[in-house]
Amino acid sequence: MTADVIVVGSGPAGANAAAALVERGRRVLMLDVGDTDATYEALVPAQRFALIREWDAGQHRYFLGERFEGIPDTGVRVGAQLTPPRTYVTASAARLTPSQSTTFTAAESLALGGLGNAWGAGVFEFDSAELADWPVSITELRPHYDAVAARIGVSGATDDLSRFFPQPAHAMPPLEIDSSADQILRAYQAKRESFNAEGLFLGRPGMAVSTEALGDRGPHEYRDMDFWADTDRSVYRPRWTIAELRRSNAFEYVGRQLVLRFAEHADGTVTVTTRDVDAGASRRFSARVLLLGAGTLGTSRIVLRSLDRFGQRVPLLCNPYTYAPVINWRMLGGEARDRRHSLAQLTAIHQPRAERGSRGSVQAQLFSYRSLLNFRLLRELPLAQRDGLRALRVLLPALGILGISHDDSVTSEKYCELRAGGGGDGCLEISYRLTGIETSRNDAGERAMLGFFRRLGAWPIKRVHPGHGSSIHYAGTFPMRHAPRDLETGADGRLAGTRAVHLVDGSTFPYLPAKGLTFTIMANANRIADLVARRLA
Amino acid sequence: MLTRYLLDAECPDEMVDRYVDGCVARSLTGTDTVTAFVDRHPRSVALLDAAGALSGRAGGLRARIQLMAAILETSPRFVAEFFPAAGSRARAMLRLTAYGLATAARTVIGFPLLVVLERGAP
Repeated sequence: MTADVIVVGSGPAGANAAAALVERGRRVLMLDVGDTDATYEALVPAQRFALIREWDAGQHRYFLGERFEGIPDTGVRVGAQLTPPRTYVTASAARLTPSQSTTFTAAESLALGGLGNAWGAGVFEFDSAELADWPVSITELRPHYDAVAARIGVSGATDDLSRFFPQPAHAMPPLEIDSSADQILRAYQAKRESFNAEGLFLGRPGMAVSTEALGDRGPHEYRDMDFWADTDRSVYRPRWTIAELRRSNAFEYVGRQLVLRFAEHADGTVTVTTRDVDAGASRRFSARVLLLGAGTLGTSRIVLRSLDRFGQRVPLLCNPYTYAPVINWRMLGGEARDRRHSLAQLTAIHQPRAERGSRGSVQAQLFSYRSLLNFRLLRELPLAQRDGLRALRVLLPALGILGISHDDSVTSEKYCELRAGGGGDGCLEISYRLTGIETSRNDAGERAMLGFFRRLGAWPIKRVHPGHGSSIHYAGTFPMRHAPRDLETGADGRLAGTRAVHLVDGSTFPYLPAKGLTFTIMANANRIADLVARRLA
Repeated sequence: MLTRYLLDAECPDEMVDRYVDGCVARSLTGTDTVTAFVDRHPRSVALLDAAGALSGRAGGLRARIQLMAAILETSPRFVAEFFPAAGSRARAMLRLTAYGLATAARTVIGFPLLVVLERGAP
């Protein structure tokens, strides 16, 4: 097949850009490493968590891992959702796409479907205040949010969060929440007016989870196995889109290819050079347009290497992230419903300055803990493990994990650069430090959020700062501008100085609000692909 | 010995084998002074585990106990010991207090023992 467009990467950005192009009649070649899980997928039964626990004598193979990799060396940290069946998602990135930092821990994926294999499935639109630095308005982006929502399947409620995250057209009914979240939400509703006056809001998040049948996916079965498997295929994974695209004659997927660089030619073509990660052989592919969706860090490597900008610093954004275990005292000694999902139950917003809109707000998501198993917490408790084990049986129905995200803006203290080395491909060096003002602002936001939950009956036990990079929300290396300069991108995602190289992932976001960025990455990729398809036509 | 400590139960052979495999996979095969002492005096495990929990020490021993707990929790035979225990809120509070006091009491004896053992380490 002679492709019109090469799409690099099969994650949320690449999959949705490719889908939009194919829907508009363009021929697409996707280049990807495409690691898959060869060990665990077939082991996990399509049954409820509690039932599996009672009968499956082989459960230790996927709950602990064949190499016992599911037992944490040091307590529970962010990335706990990367259970043994998900470890393939990031397994080869450290070897094939190395990065170095003393201040930042990067998680990248070379898997088929990218980090979308392990995302939290939260669906959050950016609002006009959060898009203020973009050369694109919410009016331009909204149709693409709706198009992506229709493609991936989105469920959600109309509640106090609707003012922050309008429901996309055709949203499915919301997911049911667990018993503890139900009680917290009721406590909020009893005093919502006074909370709202303080800029505090609580509700059920929109989720990329099909609560109704969508093609061969869903509806969600409430098995509480969402950290371990996708047996009902209700949670959106980009690899579902890739599987659909592979049935089209207008789409070709070439796996095991690590994209190294691109070059534009006078005849109007773009050439992409890859290395086969198994055989080591170099290959070249050509098309009229190139869309890079290799993830912010992956795309940064490819661009800086292609333009021979070793040693050139580019900005880097990442949502600062803190988590806190909380105990909902109303659930102490209570009995929780078995029917539940493992994803975010509730989302809270603290918007301290209404005049600035959502910008500068703090967001938290509440998760129930049960399906991540008790043993992971044993060494976190100040108890002998015999006593800890018994205490957890009492605490479990009341235990939740609150993940708190902050927004992020460009400063001179947050950047990455490609250094020579890494087997000739270069090694990405990352430096990330918050300013004193940012640190104290985030600390105040966390205190306000934890105070909010305390008033709702959910008592925080401690705050854990897992380190920079742990939100796995990376962005901003080649920001979009109305008039892009060197190493910036235009409104169509086109890299300044290139004719037909467009960036479709988070690398073009000039600002990161305190919320998940994946839905907006997909919508923006859909938008850019739409523009490219029109131009090619 | 660890199953008896954690659950007052005997460990089936296949789980002992799994524990040995886990120790190899997690590089827990070396014997430090604390673990060696527990091997000779199994009743001391509760004291040293409690002392380790409150002092952040005895990492090798506590990692082994956690490994055994993980193996037990993912076995249908023992899974009921890990399921939530329902009751009244007052009873839950009493239980939590009792577990805290139990750990504190063991630490009173366990911590000096732990310090002595660690000082004696090569």
